[in-house]
Formats: sequence, structure tokens, C-alpha cells
Amino acid sequence: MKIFIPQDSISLALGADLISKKITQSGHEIIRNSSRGLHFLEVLIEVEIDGARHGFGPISSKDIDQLIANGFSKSHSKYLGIVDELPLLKKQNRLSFSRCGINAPLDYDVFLSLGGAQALAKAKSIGAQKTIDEIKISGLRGRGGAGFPAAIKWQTVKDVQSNQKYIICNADEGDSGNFADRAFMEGDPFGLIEAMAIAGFALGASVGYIYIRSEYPIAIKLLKAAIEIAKARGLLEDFDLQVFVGAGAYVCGEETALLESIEGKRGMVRAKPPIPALEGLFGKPTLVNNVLSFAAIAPIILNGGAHYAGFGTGRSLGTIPVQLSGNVKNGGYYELPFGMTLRELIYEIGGGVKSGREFGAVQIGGPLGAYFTSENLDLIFDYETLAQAGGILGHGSLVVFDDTIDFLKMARFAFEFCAHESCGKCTPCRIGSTRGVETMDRIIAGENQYELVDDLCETMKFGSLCALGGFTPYPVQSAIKAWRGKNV
Amino acid sequence: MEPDNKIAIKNIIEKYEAVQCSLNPILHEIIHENGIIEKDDIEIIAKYLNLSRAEVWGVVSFYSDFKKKPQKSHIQICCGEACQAQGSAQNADEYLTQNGLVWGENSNGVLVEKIFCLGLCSRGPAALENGQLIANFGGDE
Ligand SMILES: Cc1cc2nc3c(=O)[nH]c(=O)nc-3n(C[C@H](O)[C@H](O)[C@H](O)COP(=O)(O)O)c2cc1C
Ligand code: SF4
Ligand code: FES
Repeated sequence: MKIFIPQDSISLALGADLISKKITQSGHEIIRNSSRGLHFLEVLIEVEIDGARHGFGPISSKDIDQLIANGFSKSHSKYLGIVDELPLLKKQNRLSFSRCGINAPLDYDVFLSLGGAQALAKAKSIGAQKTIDEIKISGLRGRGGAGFPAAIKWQTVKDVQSNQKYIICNADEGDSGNFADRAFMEGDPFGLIEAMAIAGFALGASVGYIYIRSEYPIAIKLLKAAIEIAKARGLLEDFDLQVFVGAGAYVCGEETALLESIEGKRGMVRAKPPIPALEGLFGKPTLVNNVLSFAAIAPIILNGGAHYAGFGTGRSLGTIPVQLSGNVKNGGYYELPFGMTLRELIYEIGGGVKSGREFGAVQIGGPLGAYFTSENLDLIFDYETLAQAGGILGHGSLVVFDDTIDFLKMARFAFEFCAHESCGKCTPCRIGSTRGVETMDRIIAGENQYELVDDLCETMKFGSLCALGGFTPYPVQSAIKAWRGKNV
Repeated sequence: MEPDNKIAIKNIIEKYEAVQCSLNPILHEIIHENGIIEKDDIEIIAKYLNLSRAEVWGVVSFYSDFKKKPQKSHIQICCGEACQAQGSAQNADEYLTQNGLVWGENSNGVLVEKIFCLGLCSRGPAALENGQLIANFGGDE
């Protein structure tokens, strides 16, 4: 009997190592996979019987003795059925995340058996330009937040002549509510390496960096190990790839601050132009893409851009791992095509509000994203619809709150976060955020200072160099609007 | 500072000498080995990497990872939105009261800090206790 016990951050934080130790002591063969994304079921133990994997979860270290004694019987109260048949897995279109959770992330033979390395081989056989053409047909837009068409960036870096070019993966994922970058790196590290090698080949770049935030020690460890294995196994033939560890600065997720950081400087945002595609790391042409943008590359190359573009809606094509968290029953990530409504995501996928109270609000797209209330739940989850509704899709997160949400406190928090993380380059962001905290305190104390906050928000929107200062008004103003809608 | 210590720092720097972009990796390793980056270290690093002391200090002071001081114990409680939506503030207060701690430095050498998102949002509230990730922090599981 083969038993799979996940080893990603979520599972480890829920005691998976202790569970694994106990099951090992009971004499079973163990494989440490990673979570499949149904985080609310973690620790999810999978037992292989006659070729099918049967799930038990959520298992805590308290349940495990009893589960072992019970012999992993299907009559156990935590028995879930065959894992592949779980409705929340079956409903997904796992293009990017197809390998995540299946097996041990560092087993290179498993990677090969699940289609790994084939996209790189295909890219090399069709050539650099055709590779970029497929990405163009796919309609892939950058998943790091700005939604910029990936193919344009790739083409720009390819077309510029230079003796040195760089490929950088932005794995700084500092937005609260977002964890799909981490999940992909911990579930399919070779998949990320392969995608970056494809970019290196297509763009003529021989050096790459994966910039991972230091808050992700497990992803860092896995990728460092995976790079060594990939080198030995020929996946990184003419491409020198390294992990670069962040140092606890949210703003370094902004691509130019990230470049400064790799260069060994303070993580200050650079004014654009020049764009990194032309003058990036050390002034050389540099491709910066998010983990999830890279994660879409192999399926696009393997199945063709048109296949990828067959998913999604409007100008939001393909799939995105929707990340559900906060006060929601089925917290986790779910790779789905763009185009579902917020209601479907929160209720059908998410299972509704965890506390059992009424729905209060959902913050979409991270700490710089807007709050939406119950009258917005029929909005479609895509870039354009959310932008028109005064928000952002960001990195694809939905953070659900029940009706106890204190909107004014959340507006204050958005300013506080901005003040804490500002790189300090622009006055509206550096000073405005602190003024914002103070003004929110006065509003919370009962003063009518709404106009002052609006003024401040307008100044920040138009006077900030990057989205930290420029987008903080989204959560602030949407939260205040939600509060006033209920109370004024 | 102990002379031994200085040698250790030189060793760390020499390991990275051939590497492009070596300042951050060097600072990470010093924090990892010694728990703190001291004034003398900055001077040594600046000399080796051909930077001014101000440049090195500018980097050290920008990043929260490099500003650390050695602590007996370090607890970081996530206060990101997803954890707030799961009651992190209340759980944190209860935890601190139960353990006789306050936010910030405590007289017994424990440092309690806020952190914004550990990527465990789907099973929050989350915390990091001396490098150990904790999900469902202060919860009943
Ligand atoms: C304050 C701030 C933080 C950001 N954080 C991230 C991040 O953690 N990860 C990321 O991929 N992009 C982040 N971005 C967006 C990047 O600047 C950039 O648009 C992205 O890495 C480009 O990759 P993509 O085209 O694949 O999305 C951030 C932007 C800002 C303004
Ligand atoms: S908006 Fe804020 S974080 Fe962005 S560049 Fe200006 S000061 Fe720095
Ligand atoms: S918001 Fe707390 S772990 Fe993400």
C-alpha cells in the first residue's frame, strides 16, 4: 500500500511531518507529494489501492493514530472517496497545475512521465519565433497583476540585440490572499525551470533568476534542489539559472524594484521608461514574468496557443488558479477558465461563508484590490469586468469576509500597509499613506473627514510612480463606500 | 567583536566572490550564521565588494530581514487581510494574553511582530514561530 502525504507549506504547517513519521513507523511505503490545492482538506492523505488513490482528510496529528489503527478503511469518518473523482478537482481545467500534487516534486522521472521537458523540446524544434507566435495566439496576459500581454514582452526582448539578456521569474508573491506561485513552485519546480529555459531559448538569454520572497523557505529549498537535478539531467543545458532570495520588502515584487534588489541595492522603484524588456537588469534586456505566467507556457507550447485561447472569455483567455481564502469554507486554489461569476466562485467552488454568518464582502486581487459587496456578486471574474467595476483582478485572489467585517478598519489597514511597505520615492505614497491612517482614525472616531480621504486618494492615484501608492485608493475607497452604503 | 567572527565573515564573502549580485546572499548568510549584521561587518563587506559603507548600510537598513537583532524567540503573527477575515487579531490578542506577551520586544527576550502574509491564507490565521510555519494559529484544531 503506497501512501501519499503532502509536503508543501500548508501541509507542513498543519503537522504533515508528524503524520508522515507515524505512518512510516507503521511500516507503510510513503511518498511525499504536495497539496493538490484543496487546502481545506489538508492534511489530505492519499492511499493507493488497486491503482486508485483514496483520500482521507482533513487529518490532523490527533486523528492519525486512530486512522492507522483503523487500517485506512473506507468506513472512516474522514474518508473522501477517490481523489481524482472529487467534484472540486473534476470541475477544474488543470492546464498549468496538471502535475501539482500528483507525486514527489523532486522526482525527475515522474516529471518526465507526466509530460515534463516535452515543451522545451517542442520549442526547440519549432524555433524561437514560432514559440512566441503560439504564446501570441494563446492571448496569455501576465498573471503578476498588470495583465500585460506576455507575447509582446517576449517579442520585445527577442528582437533587441544584446550580448547579454536575462530571464527573471517574479516569485515575490507578497499579496495577502495569494499563494498560487508558492503552490506551483512547491508542486512542480521542474515545470517552472522548464518554462524559464524555454524563455531563455526563445529570447536568446543565457542567464536567469528566480526571485523568491524569504517568507517561502520551502519553495526556496525545493527550487535550489530542483535546479541542481535539472542541470544534471539536461533540462538546463545552455541556461544558467539561480534562485535569488528576497529580504522582506513587499515593494520588491514591483519589477523594477526587484531588479534593483538583485543588483544589490535598496528596492526602490525605477521610473519607466526605460522598460525592463529593453533596459532591465544591469541595463540589459530583461524578461520579467510572474510564476503563473511561466506556468502557462508549457501547456501553450504543447497543445498550441489556440487550445489555451479556447478557455476563458473576452480578452481574458485561458485559465487562472483562483485563490480562495479568508472566511470561506473551501479555502484553496482552483485552476479555472476566466468567466465565472463571483457568486459561483464563492458559493459553488468556495462553499460559502465559513462562519455560517451572512456574506459581508470579498476583496479581490490582493491588498491593493477593491472590496465588493453582495450586490456585486454577479460580476464576471475577468480583467475587464473587474476593472470596469472599479477593481482589479490582480493575481487572482478572493478574500471572503462575513458580515462582521469592519470596513473602516479595513480602509485604515490599507493605508497602514501602504505606509509600512512604501519604498519612499514618491511623496503621495510615503506621506499620504500615513496621513491616511490618521484621517481614518478621525473618521472612526466619528468625524466627517470623507472629503479629505477622497482628496488624498486622488493625489495618491495620480502622483504615485507605482501601483503601491497608486492602487491603495481601491481598497480604501471601496471599503468606505461599502460602509457608507450601510450606515449613512 | 571577536576576531574569530571577522574571519567567519570573510569566509562568507569569499564564498560569493565569483558570484554576480552577491550582496544580498552575503547578508542573508551573515544573518543566518550570526543572527545580526554589525557595524564592523559592513566595513568588511564594503571593502571586499568595492562599495562605500553608505551603500552597504543603505541596503541593510532597507530590508527587514537584514535589520534583525538576535532574539531568544521570534514570533511573527500574520495580519494580512485573509488572516484578519479569519479572526487573526482576536486570536493574536488571546495568544498574547495567555502567554503573558505583548507586541514588540518582551523582557524575556521574545520578540512578537506583525507580518503580512505567509502564503497560508487558505488555512489562516497563520504565524511563523522561530522559522516554523503554523496554520490555523490560535484555532481549536
Ligand atoms: C507594489 C507592487 C508589488 C508587486 N508584486 C508582484 C509580485 O509579488 N509578483 C509579481 O509577479 N508581480 C508583482 N507586481 C507586478 C510586477 O511589477 C510586474 O508587473 C510583473 O512581475 C510582470 O510579470 P507578468 O507580466 O508575468 O505579470 C507588483 C507590482 C507592484 C506595483
Ligand atoms: S508609489 Fe510608493 S512604493 Fe511605488 S514608487 Fe512611489 S513611493 Fe515607492
Ligand atoms: S494573509 Fe495571512 S497568510 Fe496570507
